[in-house]
Formats: sequence, C-alpha cells, structure tokens
Amino acid sequence: MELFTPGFGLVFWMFVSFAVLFFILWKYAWPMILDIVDKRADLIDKGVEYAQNAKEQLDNAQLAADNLLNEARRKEADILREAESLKTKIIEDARAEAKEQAKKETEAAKLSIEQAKKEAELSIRDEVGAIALSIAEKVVRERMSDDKAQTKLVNTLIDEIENQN
Amino acid sequence: MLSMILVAVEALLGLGASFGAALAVIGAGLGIGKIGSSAMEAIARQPEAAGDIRSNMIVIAALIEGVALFAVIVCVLALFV
Amino acid sequence: MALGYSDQMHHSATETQTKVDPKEIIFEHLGDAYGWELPFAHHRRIPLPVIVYGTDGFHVFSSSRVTDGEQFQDGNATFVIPAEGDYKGKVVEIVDGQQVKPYDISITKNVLALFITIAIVVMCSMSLVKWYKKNGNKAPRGFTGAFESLVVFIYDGVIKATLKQDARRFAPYLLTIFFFIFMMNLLGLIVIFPGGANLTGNIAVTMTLAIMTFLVTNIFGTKHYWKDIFWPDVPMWLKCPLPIMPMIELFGIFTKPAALTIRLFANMMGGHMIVIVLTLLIFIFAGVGGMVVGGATVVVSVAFSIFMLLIDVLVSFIQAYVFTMLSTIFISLAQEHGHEVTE
Repeated sequence: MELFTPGFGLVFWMFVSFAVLFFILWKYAWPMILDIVDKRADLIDKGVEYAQNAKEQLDNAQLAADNLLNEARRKEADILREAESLKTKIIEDARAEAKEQAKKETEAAKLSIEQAKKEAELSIRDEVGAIALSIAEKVVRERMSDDKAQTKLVNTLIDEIENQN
Repeated sequence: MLSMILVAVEALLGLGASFGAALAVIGAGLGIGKIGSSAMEAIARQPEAAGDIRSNMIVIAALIEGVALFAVIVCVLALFV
Repeated sequence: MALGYSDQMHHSATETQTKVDPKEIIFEHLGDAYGWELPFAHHRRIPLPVIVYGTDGFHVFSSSRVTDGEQFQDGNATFVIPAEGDYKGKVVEIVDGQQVKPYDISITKNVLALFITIAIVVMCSMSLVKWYKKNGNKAPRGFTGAFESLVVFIYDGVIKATLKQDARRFAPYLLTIFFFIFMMNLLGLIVIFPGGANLTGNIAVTMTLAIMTFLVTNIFGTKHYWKDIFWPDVPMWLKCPLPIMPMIELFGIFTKPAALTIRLFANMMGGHMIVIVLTLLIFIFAGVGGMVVGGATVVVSVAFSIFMLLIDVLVSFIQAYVFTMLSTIFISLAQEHGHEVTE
C-alpha cells in the first residue's frame, strides 16, 4: 500500500535536506547558541554564589559592627566611671590644698597680727609712756613743790624701769 | 460463488481489522488510565512535585500510545493490503 | 480544505449523485503529489519539476506535461502517469509497451515542504544567533526568546540530564532533530501554503529520521557497548552453541529505530486522518440525507475538528519531544563506558 511503502525520491531528498540543515546549523548556529546558554547558566550560578557570599559577609559585618558597638558602649561606661572618680579626686585634692593654703594664710595672718600687735604695743608703749610722763610731769609738778620728794620719786621710778627692763 | 467468497473475505477483513483496532484501543486506554491514576495519587501526596510528575506522565503516555498505534497500523495494513 | 471538498462535491453533483469517495480523498490528502494545489481550487495545481532517472539518464520536465494522463515525449523516453494499476499516480516510463518505474527524485509537494521547513528552521536559528552577536549575554525577547527558551528546555531538561558529559558533543544533532520534527509537524497542521503537506505522516520521512538516529547511535557507540551486544555478561549456555542473547540484542538494535518510526508516523497520520474524516462526515451525511442532515453535522463536525486540531498541536510537540528524548536515551545507552566489577 502506497501509504506504507517509502518512496525512494522522498527518502533521497530527506537525507540530502537533513544533511544540509544539520551542516548549516552545526557550523553556524549551535556552537554559539550552546556556548551562550552554558555561559549564561554559569553566570547565573556565579551570581547566585556571589549573592550568597555577599549575604554571608553582610551578616558577619553586621555581627562585627554590633560587637564593636557593645565594646564602645562598655568603654564609654568605663571612661565615665573613671572621669567620675577623677573628678571626685580632683575636688578632694583641691579641697585639701585649699585647706593647706588657708592654714598657711591664717598662720601668716597670725604672725602679722602678732607683729602688728607688737608694733602696736611698742608704739602704744611709747605714746603711753609719753602721755604718762607728761601726765606724771604735770602731776608731779603740781604735787611736788620741794626737791626731796622729787628726787626720791625719780629714783624709785628709775629702779622700777630697770627692773622692768 | 466466487464473488460471494470474495465478499465474505472482504467482510472478514473489515471485521478483523476493526476488532484488532478496538482491542488495541482497550489496551492503550487501560495503560494510560493506570498511569493517570498513579500520577494523580502521587500529586495528591506531594503537590510540590506536580510539574515533574506531569511531564513524566505525558512522556510515558506517548510511549504507550506508540505501542497501541503499532496495532492500529497492522489493522490498517490488514484492511487495505 | 472544506472549500476544496465543495469543489469535489460540485464535480460529483454534476454527475449522477455519485457518492463522495472517502478513501480516495483521504489518501489524496495524506499522500504525495507532483504539484502543489492552490489554496481554494483543489484541482488546479502549481506544477513542480519532475526529475527522473530513466533507462537513459536524467530527464527533467515540468509536471504540467504529464497531468491528466497525457503522455510526454522527451528524447527517446515517454513518460506518463497511469491512472490505474500498480504505479497509480507515479511517473512511469513506457519502454516497449511496458510500464517501468524509473528512479524518481522529483521535487514533489512533500520535498518542497521539506525545503520550506528547513528554511524556516534555519531562519529561526539564525535570528537567535544574530541577537547573540548583537547583545551578548542578555536574554532575548519575543519570538527569539520563545525559540531560545525551547532550546534551553530541551538542552537542560533532556540532553544534559541524560548525557551529562557527552552532552555538548551530541547536542547539535539532537536539537536539530527536535526542531526539524516540531516544525514539520506544525506545518502539516496549517492548511494553506506554506503548510498543508503531510510530512511526518509519510513513512519515508520518519524512516529516514529513525535511520539517522540509528546511525548516530551505533557509529559513536563505545567498544564496551558493542561488546555487550555480541558477548554479553550472561551465563555461558546463553551465548556459546546457539548465540541466543547476541541475536536478541542484535534484534533490539533494529527494533528501537523501528519503534521510533512507527510512533511518529502513526501519531501524525492518525491525527490528520481523523480531522479529514470528521470533515468528510459532513459531505457523506449531506449525500445521504440532504441539506438538513448535512447542516446539522456541520456544527458537530466543525467542533470536533477544532478539538482534534488543538490536540494535534499538543501531540506535535509531544511527539517531537518524545523522539528527541528517546534518541538521547539510546545514544546515552551506547556511550556506556563499563564499570569495574567489585569483588
């Protein structure tokens, strides 16, 4: 039956045409197409790998950053504490120094007061002496009319002053 | 008499061919039905594999049809040759 | 196709109510012819060249000279297409009153359709190559993208999965086979030019494809493969006095391409035949029952025809895919490199 018997012409042309088609495609089409398909698959794989690595690195970087932040916070607390203690120390030192200074000053003041007192005493002594002498002179002049009582008084006065000195 | 025999032979050819084709179709129907049912079960068990299962099912159905068509070709040959 | 039948009906209606001969029409549509019929006038054909190698060398002439039973005299030889007999429909040479069939390599309708298919496949592939040359690694869009996605589907899904290392070596052949068969199937479904020629429903075509797979499988088969066929690893009594296993294996080498042939041929031919028969039903019923019954069957038949054509599209792809997949599997089986026997 003609439907089931292959016709020779068609078989011949089929071989010829397929050979031509295969040659054309094999030479010009498939190498490039398959190369690019493979390359694109590689690129996609590499891209996926790269993305995964990048994600990992990002995660690591995140962790590291967190760590650093914690460290920094801890250091900050430490520094603050140190600063606190330093502040109190400085204040205390200052206070102590101030105390010292005050003590010195009070001593100096005391000394100068002593000095001033002594000077005052001396000047007052002089003045008081002068006044007393003048008063005494006046009194003695008024009371003493004779020389005897005058010379006795002067001698006793000089003895007293000698005893005093 | 001869013509009657010829007519009888032709009729028998027709009968034989159609019977053969019918049997082949029954076989193909049973086979593909079995594949379809197991494919449905498999998809029901694991819906994520549906795509894979579907492609395999179609391929195997094509192979079974090929065998059934062998029988059909033989029947057609018997009918016309 | 329907209008062509109406043409036929017209002819038969002018005669005395002769019934539409379904067998004739079916085989005319499924078979080959020396000219390409015009779209809406089925009995006028564009003549194609006839190339025959007769008893005295090549003769080339247009088929219009031998249509309708005319005899054509070319030099010493006379050619005619007999209407009856063994060589019905084929060009024969009349030598001494006897009909002698020469070697006929004319460009028939199927051969022209072959050329058209090849041109289309080459055009598609070249458009993809041109895109790559222009755009490097980027993915193409549109039709080229669809073509490329098919290439990737077959390459990754079938070829690389089965062949693994030798994939690159056999991929050109397998991809060519896939696109060739797919395009031939699809073109057979289109009714008018450039389609309409039932290529894969012709056993010569599928036989040639299967023979080529057979050649590729066996020529590139490894030594281990041949050893497994002629001296398989089975108990001695199956091999030595009567080579039972080798014979079976040898048989197996030939049945595999035969299965490929028949599968593709029968699927495609069956699809076409069903569509033609469904369409013919209209005219058969019209011939029997008049216009009313004819009109009723029009609706049913057209609906079923559309359904069958849609299934045919799916079947085209599936058959091309199955052919390629089986060829890949056969090639991979022949590339076996053996394994060490672990004691």
